[in-house]
Amino acid sequence: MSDPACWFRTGTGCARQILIIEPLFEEANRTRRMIAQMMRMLEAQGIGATIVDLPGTGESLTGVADVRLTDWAVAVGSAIAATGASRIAAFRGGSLLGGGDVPTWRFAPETGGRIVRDLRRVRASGRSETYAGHVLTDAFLADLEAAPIPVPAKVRTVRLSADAAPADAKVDGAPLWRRAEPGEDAALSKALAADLAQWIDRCAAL
Amino acid sequence: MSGETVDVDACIRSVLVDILGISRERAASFDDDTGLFGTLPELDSMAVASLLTEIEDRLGIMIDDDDVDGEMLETFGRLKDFARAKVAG
Repeated sequence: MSDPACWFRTGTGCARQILIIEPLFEEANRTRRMIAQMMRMLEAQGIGATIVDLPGTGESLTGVADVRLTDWAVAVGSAIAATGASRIAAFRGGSLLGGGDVPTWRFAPETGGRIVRDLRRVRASGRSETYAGHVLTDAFLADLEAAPIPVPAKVRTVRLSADAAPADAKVDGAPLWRRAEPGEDAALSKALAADLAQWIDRCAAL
Repeated sequence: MSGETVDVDACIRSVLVDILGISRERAASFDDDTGLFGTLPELDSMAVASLLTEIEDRLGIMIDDDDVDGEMLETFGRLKDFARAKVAG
């Protein structure tokens, strides 16, 4: 597990805590601002949030070439225990982790197969040996390709309006994770934070 | 587009706006001869990967990477023709 002192956290004093699992690889960089905006909005509503550092990414000191997908599932479990989070908010490929008994809200979940396809396409277009700068092993990619999206006992799925896949709710906005210069979409961050906060409230009431 | 169940034209314009971050007005001004790859500075090789994946998602099609070449991305009209052929199966 990475050093908890390095984790990006907001609202550490709040009674309610959630764990955030970001999109994978380059998509995490492109959505970091959106997620940070959401975390601050949640904090204003009394909900603390922590971004889990997956081994080989973020502030982790492990090389991503040494990582298997099971290491990420372990990291998520450890971070839930360490932060006392009672809910997970997972984005895109982050939805492949977690699951189990922890109620999960997810935004634009993506299958492992499609993520791997995307990574291979990016590598081919960049004429590079790496996957947009990430050194990924065939074993890791095979893990990812075969990983099913878990079905937690309680789950809410939100997608963009333009996304044809089924969802519990749809929000307007652009897929920032596919933009080279994503900038920000404050309206999207606000809509997502509001949906997530309402869901957390509803779950607590059940 | 009459007779088209999916509006491929509108879909590709909105993907260009969302992925490349260009304005709606600019995308609306594109005609079939408007140059894309090699003309639009926003559309570099990394952006091509994102563009194709997003078009796949929105139109529910699969694009074989062997089909992707400079020609099908040369103009707005060619990209539309390519996508329409995929939608038609």
